[in-house]
Amino acid sequence: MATTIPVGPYHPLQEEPEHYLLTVDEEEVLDVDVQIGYNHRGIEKLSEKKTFNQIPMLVERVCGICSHSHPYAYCLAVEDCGEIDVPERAKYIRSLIGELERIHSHLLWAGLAGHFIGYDTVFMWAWKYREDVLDVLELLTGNRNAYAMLKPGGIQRDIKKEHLEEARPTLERLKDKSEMLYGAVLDDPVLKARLRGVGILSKEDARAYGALGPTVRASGILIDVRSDFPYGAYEDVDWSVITRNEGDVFARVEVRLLEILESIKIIEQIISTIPDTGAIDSEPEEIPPGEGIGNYEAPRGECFHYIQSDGTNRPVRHKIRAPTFMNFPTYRATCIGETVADATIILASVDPCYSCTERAIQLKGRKKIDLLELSRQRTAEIKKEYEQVENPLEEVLDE
Amino acid sequence: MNPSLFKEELSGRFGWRLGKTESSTRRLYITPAPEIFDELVQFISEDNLARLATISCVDHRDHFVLLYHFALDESGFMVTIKLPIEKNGEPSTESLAARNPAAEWIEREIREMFGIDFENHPAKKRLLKADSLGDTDFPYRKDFKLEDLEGD
Repeated sequence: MATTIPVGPYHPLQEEPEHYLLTVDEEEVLDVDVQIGYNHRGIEKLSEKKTFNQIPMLVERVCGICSHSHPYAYCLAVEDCGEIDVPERAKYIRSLIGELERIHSHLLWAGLAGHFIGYDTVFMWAWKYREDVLDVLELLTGNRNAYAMLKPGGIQRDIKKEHLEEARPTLERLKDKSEMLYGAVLDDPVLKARLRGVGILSKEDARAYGALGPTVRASGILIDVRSDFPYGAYEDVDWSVITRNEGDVFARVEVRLLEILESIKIIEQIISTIPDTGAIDSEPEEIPPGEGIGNYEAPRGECFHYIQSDGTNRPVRHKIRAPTFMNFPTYRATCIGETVADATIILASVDPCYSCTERAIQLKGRKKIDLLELSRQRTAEIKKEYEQVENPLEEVLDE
Repeated sequence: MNPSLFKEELSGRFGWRLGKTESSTRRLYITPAPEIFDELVQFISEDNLARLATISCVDHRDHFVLLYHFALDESGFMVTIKLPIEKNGEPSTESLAARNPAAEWIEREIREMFGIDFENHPAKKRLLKADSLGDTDFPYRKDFKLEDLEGD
């Protein structure tokens, strides 16, 4: 007999509100229904009230993880509309930040995926390594998230040469750690048994649903905006698009972990070949009437922005389509017929967008704080207090 | 393949009915005669394996325009087909979702936000509009005032 299991909209395991309705027959999932929109903030409508230069600040807040992707896609749309050229140095810096963002997003996902299947070691590893990436982002842009680097025609601020050099050893360390993580995941018999052959998205289904990013590349379709519609520095660096043919959850894990290594390769080349000087902004005066499309390869797939201008300083229409909007409906092809226990990891395997803005850093130049040491000190202090009163209970009784 | 070659191929096939076109190195915009719309979409998405990136809806106050953005990933350009929709009465057009599952959520979003009905759509239920908004409130239309949402 069929039973319905509601999951969400507020659920301890989900970071964002979504409502799933699983129809199940014992362990088998017969149907899935999804209700979204709990996070709908009307950004497209708000954008019509902002000037072209104000919009990057707004669209940066569409997503806490892809905070470089949305403004980048928007800037590409405006530059397409106004036929604006971007200086070479600005293109390199844009791509550099974009790749760092991809690494931190993929590590974040790898950690969450590990957590979803009850493998918390992967969660702790991945999130620990992710901290290094966030430190590099903070070093270069001043922010761990919402880097505020983009504007139509270029970038807002330049980055320093010494900071780039300072980032190198961290990236080197990250490369070793990512290789280790990839090896550990690939060799793990438990993970293989858990994820191989689960939630298969066939090549035909992936194409029909218009799936994007790592989701579609794990199904053997070679689509990547960075190579199909080159922008930024991608034409000048040597890299390859990662694909897998299996289409299951394991393949999606593999594609993302390999993309981390590919991104490190791109970043290293950018640091070595970036033009030392030069303009970072072409300072466009006005946006002529017309329309423009910007598509950008975000960590989850193609992020699509469309703008229409009537020659004033505000867009008439600004359409935003995030990659998850296309990836998510593939659950129809992947979840049905699987077990309830697998449904969570299948739904999570397209990496539906989560927000993360928690902030805890160690400021440079200040005394290093060791949390373990701090905890020992506190214990010692408490112990001392108790030692002064030999028997605390006795003193209370005396009073 | 590039946009201007593709345009020539299309005009060879559809002649004058292809209507007004604009092209640049990576973009092709077409406003075809409404009667060839289905055939054109089929030719682009099925014969040329283009991916439906999304559909944008623009409210021009007296009418809507739907822009169907197709990506030809292998050739590296975008083809956008524009379809004007009358605003009077109940604006509607034929749904692509039955043939192209990618259109399902996209059309549901436009239906909720702009009030354009997609005929023969497989799932006409609410996807993302807030419960507090009625079935006839269309927040992305130009005549919808943000102030109306206050106190919500």
